[in-house]
Amino acid sequence: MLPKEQKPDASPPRWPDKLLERFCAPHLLEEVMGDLHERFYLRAGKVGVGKARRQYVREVLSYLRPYVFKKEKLLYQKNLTIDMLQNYLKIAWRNILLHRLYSILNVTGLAVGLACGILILLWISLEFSFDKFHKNLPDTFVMMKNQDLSGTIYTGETTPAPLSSKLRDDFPEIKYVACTGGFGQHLINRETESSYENGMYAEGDLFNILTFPALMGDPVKALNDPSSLVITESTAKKWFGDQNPMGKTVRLNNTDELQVGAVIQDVPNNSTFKFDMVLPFRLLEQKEKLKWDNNSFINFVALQPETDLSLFNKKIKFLLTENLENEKVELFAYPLAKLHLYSKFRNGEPVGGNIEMIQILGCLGIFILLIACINFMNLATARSERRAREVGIRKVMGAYRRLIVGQFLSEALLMTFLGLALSICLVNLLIPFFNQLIVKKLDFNFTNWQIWSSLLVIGLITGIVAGSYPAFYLSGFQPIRVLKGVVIQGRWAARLRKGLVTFQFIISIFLLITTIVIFKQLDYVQKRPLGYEQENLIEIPANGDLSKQFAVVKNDLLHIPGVTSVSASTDNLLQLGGGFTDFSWPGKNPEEDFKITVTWVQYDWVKTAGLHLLEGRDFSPDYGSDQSACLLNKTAVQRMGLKEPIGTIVGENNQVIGVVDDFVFNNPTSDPEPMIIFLRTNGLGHFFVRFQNDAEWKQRIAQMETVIKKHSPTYPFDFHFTKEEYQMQFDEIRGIGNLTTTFSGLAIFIACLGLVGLSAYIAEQRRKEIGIRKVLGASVSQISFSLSHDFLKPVVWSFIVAAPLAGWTMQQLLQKMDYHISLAWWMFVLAGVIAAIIALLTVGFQSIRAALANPVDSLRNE
Amino acid sequence: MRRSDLGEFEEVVLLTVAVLTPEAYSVVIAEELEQQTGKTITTGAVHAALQRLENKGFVKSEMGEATPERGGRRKRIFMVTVAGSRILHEVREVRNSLWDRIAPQSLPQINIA
Repeated sequence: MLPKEQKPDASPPRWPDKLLERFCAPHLLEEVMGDLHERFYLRAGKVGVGKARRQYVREVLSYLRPYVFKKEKLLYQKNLTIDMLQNYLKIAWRNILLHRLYSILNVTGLAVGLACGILILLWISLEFSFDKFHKNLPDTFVMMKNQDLSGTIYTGETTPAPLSSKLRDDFPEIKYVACTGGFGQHLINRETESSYENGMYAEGDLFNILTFPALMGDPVKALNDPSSLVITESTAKKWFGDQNPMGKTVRLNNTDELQVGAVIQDVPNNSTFKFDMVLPFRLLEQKEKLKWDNNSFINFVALQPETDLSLFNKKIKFLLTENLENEKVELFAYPLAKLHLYSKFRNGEPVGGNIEMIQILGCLGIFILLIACINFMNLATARSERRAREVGIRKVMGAYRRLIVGQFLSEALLMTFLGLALSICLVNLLIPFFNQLIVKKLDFNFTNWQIWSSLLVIGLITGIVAGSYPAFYLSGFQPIRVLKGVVIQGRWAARLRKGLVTFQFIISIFLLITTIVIFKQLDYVQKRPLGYEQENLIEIPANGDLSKQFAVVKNDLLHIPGVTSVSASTDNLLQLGGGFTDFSWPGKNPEEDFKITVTWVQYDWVKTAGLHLLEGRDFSPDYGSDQSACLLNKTAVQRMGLKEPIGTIVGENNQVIGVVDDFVFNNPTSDPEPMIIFLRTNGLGHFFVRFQNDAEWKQRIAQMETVIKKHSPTYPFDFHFTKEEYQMQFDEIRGIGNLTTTFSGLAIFIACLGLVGLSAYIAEQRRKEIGIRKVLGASVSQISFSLSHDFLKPVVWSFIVAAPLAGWTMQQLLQKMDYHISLAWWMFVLAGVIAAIIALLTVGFQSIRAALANPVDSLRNE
Repeated sequence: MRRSDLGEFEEVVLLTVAVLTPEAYSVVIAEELEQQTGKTITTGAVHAALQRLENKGFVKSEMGEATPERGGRRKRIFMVTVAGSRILHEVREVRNSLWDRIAPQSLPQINIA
């Protein structure tokens, strides 16, 4: 039935065919297309090509029926259940055992990466859980204030005490309000022993606002009575052992008798406010008149549910200003829920806080996991030809591509879960060290289903990320090629592998540079000239009776041989809290204002602390007028612009008698702040003793103890080396430094695991080539160089990328501090060289082994 | 779901398969039907009917040889099964008995050539 006159162009139109190929199920395509074409030629013979073409379109469209779309059911689909999965796992397991080196490299890399991920996850979940145990959290707020000082807004959570009753009386939106204050160590005397406990004064409603469940008694009632206190469970155990603590009497700061009115559960680890006992606020109120200008309290507020916060904040905005003289302070309520994570403010707006650390850590964790995943990908694809035949055979036997994808994914998941199991062991081992490193209390709670499920999710994601690329790559092999034995590794695959190695090293070098810079900065700050003699200086906290007897104590202390000087102050030299604004000096521009730090000291303070007097003299008992005199520091003189500071009258009729050189206090990384020093002869909380450093210093401290005990028998003797206290301030920076060191070390370690695998593979691949080279006379060093230098390139590239990146980031970081190092080229070079050396050593080992091999072994069989 | 009744178009197609056996495939069936009815019959419609008939078990099929006008593609040849034959006979019997029972004057007269 051939058509009679078939013109050469008498063919059916192309596009309907293409359409049909698209929608028609493969098993129907042949007959359908054949039918269509045959009919077309028949028609073309009868009615002409043009008409036949038009009808052809109609014919094609007539196939648009559901049954034509539906693909044939896969023949073996039903068998893909347990049997196939078992086979996959069996093959995967055999592969793991067969290639032990690679399996160990892979599993170790994944385990280390996962362990990092888990630790970071634990940390992050701890940070996010802060204060979440309070039941009324959404309605709980902390009163905060924005204070405008010469254009800079300082934000703080300390507010005056009278605010609490004002809020309680005037604002119906408020359900409860509680003022707290007097945070810190308080002396508690029991029948026989005494100790310092961490506590605070609080109004009873605190326990209506925050959730600290009571075990015995009613904490709200207890705190409304000025003669009873609330303690935690472990404090009760510490004080009274197994006895019933309720109603027991203790003595507070040697002045007040208090009864235990309630026992609460211990304050959870994840509470922003921590304490061992709570004292009645009314006791504090009885002692001193708390005024509006005393900003040393924290006011907690519970609002009525569904209060409009912004409306409420508008109402209370000027509440403080109304009660103060000429101060620009704005009051606002800040959610307690946000206080821990978003506690940093700039220009009165929250700009971050702990959340920044969490973000950085989260990124670090993800990057390290990614490095481990990359190892897996690289090794799997590099060694793909070992599996190529298997893929070919499976395909010939009827495996579909997605089954093979499934196989390799399940293999990756098996690896990952082996790694996960190992990492859980690792985490359990490492948690104590990690806690020391970051100065936190993490714990790995096995009974918590959330931890388990998140572990499972991490494992799954890691497995899929690590396994998906190899799975798609391997399953894409064409059976005909691989079975002929031709596996041409695409140039693209090799390039990608190199790219991934480069990426690993970018992260490693970045972290290395960060580590170097952080430690250099830490060292720099620690060696900063302090402006006073920190060595051989002891600070003795003096409470109550002791501070009143300063003159006698000083006399007795000076009789101890080796004690050269004794003085006292309201502050311990390191942390100076108090400050004035609105201070006046001659020639002051009314617009100008700054906060000037204030401290009160005894005679001989300059001498004892070892400060440098630039001009004038120290306070001296020889001058009766010194009671109203003051010292300034250099910065204060500069900021006030005083040309002849000595004799100038500043503030409320205070004559400047001396200028001391600046010394470092509060933040060791910031520029010195202006400071004013007054004389006070009693009630100073910190005694200073300067003594000679020689073999008998321990004995001297024992003698000091005797003296102190004599004058204040009820207090436990306590003392601090100022230098040690100062060093403690660096704990946090040191913690961060340790953390980056650890992470950069781990990143490099995992990346090197990958390098070991890759170089072993390359050496194996080029076995014959190496053999021939050796036969032809190449030396071991030439061969190992030719093997190694391939791996040096990614390191060089990653250095080129990482160095500017790290430089920029570190510059941003350093600029946040006043006192900082400047970046130097050697920091970058050092990081680069370390990375290169480690990479070379790793690769070099493999290369030398390959180069040393006897060529006979590799060339024997051909 | 398999229905065992026979639609009108299906019946015609099934009959045509019987007529054209052993060379019954979509294209010739469609051509035949076009000739018989004078309407345009697409192969798609025929193909669909054959598919349904095969699902119902009234025809069976196998791939035949390839021809050049099909672009070297094979065709699917259809044959009537025993079940197909039975249903055709049943349908015919029903019709015959109905025809036999029509009284002579009850159908209006028409002119048949």
